[in-house]
Amino acid sequence: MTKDHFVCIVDDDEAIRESLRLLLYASGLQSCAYESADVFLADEKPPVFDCMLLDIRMPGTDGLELFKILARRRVPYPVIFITGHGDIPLAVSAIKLGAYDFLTKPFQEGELIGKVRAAISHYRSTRQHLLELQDMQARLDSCTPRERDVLRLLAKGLPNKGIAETLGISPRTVEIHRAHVMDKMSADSLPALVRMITTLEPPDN
Amino acid sequence: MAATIPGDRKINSKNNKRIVVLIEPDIPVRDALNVLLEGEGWQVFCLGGCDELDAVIRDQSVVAVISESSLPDCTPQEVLERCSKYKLPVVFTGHDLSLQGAVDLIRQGATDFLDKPFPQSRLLDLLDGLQDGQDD
Amino acid sequence: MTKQQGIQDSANAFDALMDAAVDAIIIIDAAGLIRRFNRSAENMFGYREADVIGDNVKLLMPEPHHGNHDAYLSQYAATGFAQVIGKGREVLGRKQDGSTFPMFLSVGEIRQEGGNRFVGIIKDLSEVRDTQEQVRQLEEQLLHADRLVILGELTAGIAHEINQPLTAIAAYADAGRNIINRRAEPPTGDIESICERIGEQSRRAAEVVQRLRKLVRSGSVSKARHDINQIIRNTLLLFEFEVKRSNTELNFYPIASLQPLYVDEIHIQQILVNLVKNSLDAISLAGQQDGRIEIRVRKVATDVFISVTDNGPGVPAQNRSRLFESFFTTKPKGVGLGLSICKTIAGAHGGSLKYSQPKKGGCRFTLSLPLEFIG
Repeated sequence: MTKDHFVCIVDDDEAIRESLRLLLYASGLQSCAYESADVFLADEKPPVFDCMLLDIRMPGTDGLELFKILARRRVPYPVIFITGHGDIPLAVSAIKLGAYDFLTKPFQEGELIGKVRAAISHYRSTRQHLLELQDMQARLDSCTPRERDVLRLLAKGLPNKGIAETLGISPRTVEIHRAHVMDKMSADSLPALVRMITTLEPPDN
Repeated sequence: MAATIPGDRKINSKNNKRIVVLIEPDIPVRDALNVLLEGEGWQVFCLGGCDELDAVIRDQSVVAVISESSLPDCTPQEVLERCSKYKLPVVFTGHDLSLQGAVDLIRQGATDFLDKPFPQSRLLDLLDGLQDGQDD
Repeated sequence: MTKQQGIQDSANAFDALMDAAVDAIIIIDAAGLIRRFNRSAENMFGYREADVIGDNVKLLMPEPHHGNHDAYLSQYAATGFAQVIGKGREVLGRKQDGSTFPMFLSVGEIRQEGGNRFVGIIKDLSEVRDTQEQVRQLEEQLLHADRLVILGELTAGIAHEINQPLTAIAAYADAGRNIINRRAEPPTGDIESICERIGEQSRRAAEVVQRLRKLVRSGSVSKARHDINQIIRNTLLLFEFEVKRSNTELNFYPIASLQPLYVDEIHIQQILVNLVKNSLDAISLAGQQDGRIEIRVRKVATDVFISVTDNGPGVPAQNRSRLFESFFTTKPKGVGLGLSICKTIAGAHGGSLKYSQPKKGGCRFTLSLPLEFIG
């Protein structure tokens, strides 16, 4: 038995929040709603959800800014932006950053439910991989800046001595950083570590 | 010294030329964008459609293709296909494209989409960035 | 029954008739003095019978009849010729409070021994006129709403048309500014030429807006003499965008020379917009790639015929009789008022709107307008 799917709504317009929740409910989808990006970010334990409906234009922290924050954290769930009529430049920026899809106001019920279900279905198939990525990113974020420097040079294939010279620190210090990094990244070998870093920070970026 | 990334077009290390291809069927718009770009030091190959596109993009100094999404003789997808052979970035402009249409073009490989009318900075900064990316 | 009884019965019957009548019944003598004034007349004019018996009936008339009534009566007495007897007509009456109202009056003569009498039977038309005015206003609102609906359907296309000249204007203006900022002595020739082109593109954009605004104007009918070819050309401009993007051919065959027609330009445009839009929609719904729409103007005797013909799927036989019905539509999101409104407009111009089946299939609507319309 699958649990009810859960959608997170972030929109400053109360009427939109209400109507979205009703429409989703009518299709058997549970939801929670936040009235601003800041309120969402302030929630330390948000429910686990399968999809986010995010208004692109909001006062304060707007949709795109919130999305950038979430993208940095590599949140795994798909984000569907709610856009107005003239929002093409914003939408284009969002899609380049990785937004999953768009809904333009006023939306047709069929379109809303269709896109939400498509997003949830897509998430199901990529969830495992994305959660791993999110986990890896969190681990990388938990390293200190210096540890990250060592890590990146390790991934480029430099030996300890070369890293020490490049960074202007002693080889002994490099070894300590290296040990910490391997531990924090839960890497059991250097090749594994290199794979992780190239996944998170591909060279073409 | 320009590094070559495997698979890219060969980059002329003396490539100080700033060349773009502009595909725009509306003549006044084509002229206006031409004037704007030339004023910023770009050399512009102007086309009204896709007819001579293949001939023109063979020039290795071309940095990008700027194309209207509504073309009389081919689809934007065809433009993307032909330019992808040379790994040329394609920037689309549009005067009658829906949000979904614009989003789809990006998904299909367009580098960007500029909804008309757009401020000059959006186009010029984008082209500068593409040229810098090329010179790296 | 005695003769006396019979006379009394007649009198009673007559009184009963007067009292019961819904219309006002007023009897005057040859001098114009009021002899009988029934209950309905009391209600209609605001006088009690007792108060107006013996008064001149012209009391109940506003000018000019007030001044002329005595003369009418004398003339009739002298000539036996009356303009008013036997025919009903619409006139104005005047109430006790001075207000006037439209009424329908028919007058008959009662020949009797003691002197002829005239009987006037009056129907108050106020309510009817109010209702007619309301209907007229509702019709105008409906016509206006129809134009707004069409406008909504055309707007996306028209708005997109504006984006092109705006883009050119923005780019020229930026280029001009860049040139001026960069050079100590900007080449005035270049700047001039840029400004000229900005001007051209601005006019181009303004024209698009103009077309829109004309279509959207509300208000009552405003007829003037127009060149029908020009009206059609203006209408077709509204479709430039739609036609381009749908690859449909739109051909116009104007009439060589025709006197200006006395029509409401916006209403005629409204009919044409409805017809062309219908053709475009039919062609696009059918997914046709070779769509063709033809507009022809012909003159036959005293009428002008404007036909809009398309090579779309046409109208299925079972729907043909229902085409002009209100709310009949086969379009997925249609309201179905367009054609019935167009038919009404055509009728209001003294013309007609008819459907016919072209020999090669497709669909044809023909609007006919009289060359001379007295209305």
